Amino acid sequence: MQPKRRTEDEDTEDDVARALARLSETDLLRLKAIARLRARGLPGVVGWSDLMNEAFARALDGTRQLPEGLGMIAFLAGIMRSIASEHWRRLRREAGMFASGDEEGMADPAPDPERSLAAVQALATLDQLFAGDRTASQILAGLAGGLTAREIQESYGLTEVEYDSARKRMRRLLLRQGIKWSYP
Amino acid sequence: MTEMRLDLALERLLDALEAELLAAPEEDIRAAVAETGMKAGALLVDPQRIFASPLEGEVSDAKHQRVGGMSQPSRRQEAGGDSTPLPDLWSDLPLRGGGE
Repeated sequence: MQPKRRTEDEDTEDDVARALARLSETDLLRLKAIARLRARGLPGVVGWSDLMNEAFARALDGTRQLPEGLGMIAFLAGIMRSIASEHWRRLRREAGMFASGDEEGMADPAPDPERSLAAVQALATLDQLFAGDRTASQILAGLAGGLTAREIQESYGLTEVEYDSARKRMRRLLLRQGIKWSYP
Repeated sequence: MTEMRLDLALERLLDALEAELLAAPEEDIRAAVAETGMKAGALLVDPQRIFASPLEGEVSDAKHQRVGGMSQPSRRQEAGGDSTPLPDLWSDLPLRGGGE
């Protein structure tokens, strides 16, 4: 009897499983920090661990395909971003704001009150996190406003060194907070 | 004057901060671990959680729908092939258990 030939899908799924199994401790902690950050934009019932677990599940079962050349952490982060977007789309459908599928192609439909409230709360939390750092707060405001790094520097009169130093402080604070925050 | 869309502002902010975390050097993560005393083992207390997400059944795409808490079949299963045991994601990690 001929051995069953493995399909390309099977090989891909196994590749993903092996890549997930190889994630290091720092990889997992980086993912946790990203999941904590992404969960900030969601209502309280959805925790960072839900996001992370679902991302692992979708990567493992082949629901999402790992694009060639993309790192596993960036891949999982992208899945978490998609899950967050899907969550809001689902709520909008349930609220009767869209018939199923109507939202496709709409770049930024007006938010429902729950999403607006979640955004206000998340922005306030992030603002509070960097409240003691004036430059970081300025960068935060600039990023929220869609400004580029150059535009933020010009708007607030920051030198490149000041900007980069503040970014490092922000990154380290996000990592500390993202790693430290407890379950969920 | 147009009102700022806070949901879009948050999305931009989260995307930018996520990019920072993706680009963070390993030494920054190790420094954060040293400061906080946290270990990845804290993430791995209950492996079963990965397959029991409360997000199941919440996604918009019907293909992704998970009903009754069951994990959706993989494309391999859908195609009638064998099913692969889920790998032990934790067996190769240096730390197990631990806590926050």
